[in-house]
Amino acid sequence: MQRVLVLAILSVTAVFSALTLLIVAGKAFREIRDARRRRRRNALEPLVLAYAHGDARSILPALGGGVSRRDRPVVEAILLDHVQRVRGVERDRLGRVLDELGFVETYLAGLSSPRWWVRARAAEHLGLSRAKRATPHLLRALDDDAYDVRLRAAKALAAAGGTAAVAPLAKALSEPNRFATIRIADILAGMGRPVVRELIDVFPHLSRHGKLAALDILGRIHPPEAVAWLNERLADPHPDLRARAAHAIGAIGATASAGVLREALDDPEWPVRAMAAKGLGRLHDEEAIPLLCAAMRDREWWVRANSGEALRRIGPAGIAALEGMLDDEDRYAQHQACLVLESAGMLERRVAELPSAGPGRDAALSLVQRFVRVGQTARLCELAATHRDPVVRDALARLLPLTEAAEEVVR
Amino acid sequence: MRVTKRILVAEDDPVTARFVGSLLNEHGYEVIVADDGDHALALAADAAPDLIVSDLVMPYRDGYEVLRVLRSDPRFRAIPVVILSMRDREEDIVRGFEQGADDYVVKPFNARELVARVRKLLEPRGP
Amino acid sequence: MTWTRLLFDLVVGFNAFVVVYFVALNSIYLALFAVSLGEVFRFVRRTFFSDYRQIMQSDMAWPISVLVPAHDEEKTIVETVRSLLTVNYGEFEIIVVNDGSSDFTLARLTEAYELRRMDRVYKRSIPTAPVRAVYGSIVHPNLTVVDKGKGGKADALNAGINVARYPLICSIDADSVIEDNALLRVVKPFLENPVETVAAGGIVRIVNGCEVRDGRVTRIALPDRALPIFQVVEYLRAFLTGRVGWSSLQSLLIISGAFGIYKRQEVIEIGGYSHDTDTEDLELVVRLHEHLRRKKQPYRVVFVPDPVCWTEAPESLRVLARQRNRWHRGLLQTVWLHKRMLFNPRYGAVGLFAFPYFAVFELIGPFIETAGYVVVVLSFLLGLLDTPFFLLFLAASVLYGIFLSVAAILLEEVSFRRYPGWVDLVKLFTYGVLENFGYRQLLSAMKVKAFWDAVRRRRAWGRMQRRGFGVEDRRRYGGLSERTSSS
Repeated sequence: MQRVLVLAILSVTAVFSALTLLIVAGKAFREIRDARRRRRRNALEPLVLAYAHGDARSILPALGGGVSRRDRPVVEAILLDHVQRVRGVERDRLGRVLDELGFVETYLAGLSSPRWWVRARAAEHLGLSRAKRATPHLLRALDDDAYDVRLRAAKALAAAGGTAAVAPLAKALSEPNRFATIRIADILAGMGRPVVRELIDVFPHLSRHGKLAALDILGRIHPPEAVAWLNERLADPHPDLRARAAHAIGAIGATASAGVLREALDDPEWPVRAMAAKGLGRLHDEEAIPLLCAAMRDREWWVRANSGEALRRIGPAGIAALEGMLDDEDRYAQHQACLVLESAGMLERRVAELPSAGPGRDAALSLVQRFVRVGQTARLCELAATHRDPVVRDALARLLPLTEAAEEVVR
Repeated sequence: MRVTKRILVAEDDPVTARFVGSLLNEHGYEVIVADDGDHALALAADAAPDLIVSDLVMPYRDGYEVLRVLRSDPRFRAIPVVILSMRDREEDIVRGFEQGADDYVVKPFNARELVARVRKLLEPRGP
Repeated sequence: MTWTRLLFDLVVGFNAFVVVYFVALNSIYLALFAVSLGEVFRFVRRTFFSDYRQIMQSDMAWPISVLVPAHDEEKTIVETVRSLLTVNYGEFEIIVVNDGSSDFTLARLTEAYELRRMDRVYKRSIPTAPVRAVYGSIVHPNLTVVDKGKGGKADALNAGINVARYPLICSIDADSVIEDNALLRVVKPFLENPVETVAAGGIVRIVNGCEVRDGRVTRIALPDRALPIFQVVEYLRAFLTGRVGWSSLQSLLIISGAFGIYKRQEVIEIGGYSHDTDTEDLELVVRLHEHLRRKKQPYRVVFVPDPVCWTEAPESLRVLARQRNRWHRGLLQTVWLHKRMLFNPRYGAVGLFAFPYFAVFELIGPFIETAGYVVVVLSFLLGLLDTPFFLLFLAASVLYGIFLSVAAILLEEVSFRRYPGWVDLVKLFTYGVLENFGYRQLLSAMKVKAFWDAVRRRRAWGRMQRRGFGVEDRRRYGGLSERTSSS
């Protein structure tokens, strides 16, 4: 027993001492190295930036012919830091330096490393450098075993690969890990119209969330030529896909889509109804006004909210409809109408007409009274206390139930 | 009338700040850098810059608030402000202009384009 | 059989038991440390700056509702909100819940952010104390303030959850100092696994000794006084070697009240935060585990080994004792509430390993340790003490303790390096060693007392519960709500 304990103590002490030594030595080493790197960075960064801003053909003369081995990591860090923060000519120049100084070669070699983090880092840096000749290597890396490598390769391809990369990237939307899907979607969306054809072609082969991402991308690119195809998606058996398609259709805003969106307002699933409402708002479809008013009585909050917002977007006809909804039987619809009218500034506008004598005043009185009846009086109380015009304050104070106005004044 | 125009760069990311600083220096401008919103306002008061390039997301005060303060103060109301930000949503850009920005450049940005915009804002309008 | 004979047997038996306990506990610690080491290395290697930039600019990143329960925080609430408004994230809203403050919390907020009453219609998914009004800010459209009657922190959070409109909620303490990139860091697991991830937390650090200006840490330093430094070492160990390990074993039971992100829908489904315990954050996560395992729904509760938030640690023994008392009582209450999970294979790794670990080593452990000292004295008096053995055992246990602290410091050094100076390193080492000569024993004693307090209270609990909300009048709000799995 005793011997076991002694052994335990000795081994722990040994490991402990080793750890301590490791920490101390590591820290000392790192501090010296970092101090040196900081100094070198201060010396070298202006040279690199001067090259980027200027138009010299090569950076080598400015760097005295080349970069010493110890300075390589410093220069690499400078280049990688700046290359991801700029676009255009300067970015291309910095990318060319990465090639000229041999870093791109190192990264290409790194893609074959047995260690996943080396491969991932290599792919990431190749993406930052935008070296066109890396494209075939990166395409191969899209099939790597390690998820991180696939992710970085996809990102790099989107940045460097040009149109050749679109097809494999679109297929990669089926990537099981969603973070990759988001990255790829962002990048594809950034590439714009050239991507649309490819997405539509590859669509049937994508996984469900790949399809969702593809529809999302189409919504962000909003290509008019995809409208017909998107309209067909509204018949898809899966509700999430229908909803995304409706959203994309709304984003494109083609007036021809109004009909299908109006139909989608009747969809049994609420996400589809919500997106259809949103789309109709963007289309400024006046014919949909009665349907949207009905949708304001929907059981689901998002559908009601989007419908109200859509009515507001449609314009004066929609706003008039909203004011009509204040008399509706459905309590939620009344509330929603109040909210939208308030946020659209209608309350303020009408209330400002209270001092006048004429139809404006009548409309204002009517509106305020309906708000009071619905019970949404907080903003009115606020105005009763703080409005610039004393006539308005007075009028409001008389219209509001006594207790609330008094409470407001005390505040 | 200052001969060399002075530009205040309000940016909390040191790498971007160095890049923009060297970029503007290269094109003949004097550059001072602030690394957060409060510092930016302090420098605006002390150093009387001719133009401000400002980030949106900064410590202590964001770019919108800096803009608001600048535009509500008669001393700074006329200083052109270019927003340089990662935020690329429609709402952010519109809000930037509504708060009084003269231009809005999204990051990652095109360096030569930024210089062109700055130069345009600094040249006096013809008679 | 004489009494001395019986005592003799008992003492020998107890000694053997202690050795077994010691070996078991330290083996678990070592295993956790090994797992954590791998996980931290892996995390550091796969994190790139460009990721965070991408999340910020992405349309597909999830918007977040940040909930700030506040009670009598007039001194700091404006700075807290200001620092939250400048957080790096695309789309998010801030909901401050004024939980019946008796001071000028609401007035300060109204003045600073030009609040106006809003008619915000929302679904009261979770019952709470009545909400008096909802305010919005003219200057900052994403700031909302909920004014309600006093109901306690859990109640305030539930009210915030009701009003929140985004799919993710982030609950923080009113005096947490949040890092700039905190939201970006902690939302990443949700983006990587949007369907499965239900909750995530990050590393919480101690702010004592740091310079804080306007809600941001401007200079990082260790505290001067001994007690907070002990806690710094304790937190390093608990987070870097404890939670990281449990998280990668898919058995993370605790996410700090100081900073945690949850899927709003899941929290509503289990009924929100509960008033049944003193540690609502611990109980929520445990209940999430129970609910989702019972539903057989695949899920992930993730710990991001990245610093996200700073919190204040008690500087005096009295406040520390109160804090640990509350934590331990909460632990006991939670274990008792969910005792059906113990050793129950229906609850997978959580029921079979993590939860029993807490029950045995965290709850019963302090008793064993404290009793150990008593028995040692007894052994000595009875002439049973095998002095060389005892000394060796003492040395072994102290060394193991030191080893774990140093291991945590090593992990910190190679990954995050938030304490850069040599003086800081020496301080950490020193206190990591000294910890074992009094601090840990003190904590054990506090836990024993907490156990008795909890047992005594429970008999009174039944009577008090009937009085409804506001039972725990002395419950602390912001800060001092951190949790560690220390021992």
